Amino acid sequence: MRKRTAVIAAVAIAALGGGIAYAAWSSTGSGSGSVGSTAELNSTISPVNGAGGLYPGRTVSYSVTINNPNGYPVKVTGISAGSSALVNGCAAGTVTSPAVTDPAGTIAAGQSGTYTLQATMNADASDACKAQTFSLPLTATLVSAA
Amino acid sequence: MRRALIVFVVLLALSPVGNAAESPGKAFTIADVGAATGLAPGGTVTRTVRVTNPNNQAISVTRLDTSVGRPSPNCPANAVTVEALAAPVLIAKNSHADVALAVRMAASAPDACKNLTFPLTYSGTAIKP
Repeated sequence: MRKRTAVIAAVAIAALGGGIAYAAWSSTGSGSGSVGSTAELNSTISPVNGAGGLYPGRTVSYSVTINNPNGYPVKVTGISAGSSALVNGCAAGTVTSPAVTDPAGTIAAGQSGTYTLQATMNADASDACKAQTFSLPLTATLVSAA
Repeated sequence: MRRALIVFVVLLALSPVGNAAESPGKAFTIADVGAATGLAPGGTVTRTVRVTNPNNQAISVTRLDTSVGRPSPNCPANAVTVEALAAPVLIAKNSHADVALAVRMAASAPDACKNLTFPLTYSGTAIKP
């Protein structure tokens, strides 16, 4: 009788082992897909009206707005130096604006930011430069601030 | 002795059944749902994938990894990373579940990574829940 009991016990253990193997059931999966990066949209720099009062040797503050047409926030890392073109006999380069690096703040997606710059009229500006409006081409560099 | 013999025969007969139960389930599939675009440096977008279970029993997807391919010679594949599965996903038999994966572009991604399509390869493991 004792021998038979021992055999049955051994069978019981073997069956349990089978149960553990069953729990290891697994499967794998695979597939492929893609994700796209965005193309940037260029910003535009626009003058803010109101700056005036330039005379030879004088520096005034003026503001520009930079828009962000992208779907992500951007940071302006730099605004280039600007120099006026020839206007009604007033020599080119009479009004200049120094470059700005890393101005504070970020521009949210679809919003605009305002930046204050300095414009100086050369001390030797001619009379032809009186009561003129000067345009200074500027370029800004922006990076994603997402 | 006779009883012992019968017990052994029973044991042998059970063995093939045990092996059959160990065989893995049918492979599940992972595929994109819709488009995922708009990645910008430092930004995150959601990549939704559909995991389809072709088995006649529920599965629990415990691992879902994504490898990102290099989209162009000048844009490194590591500019984009896809998060792994946060928690196991249970999928009923012969059904599917949509899983949202966060895809992040490194803030240091170069300009060469603009306007590209990054190929993704999914792999996963599931167990019987």
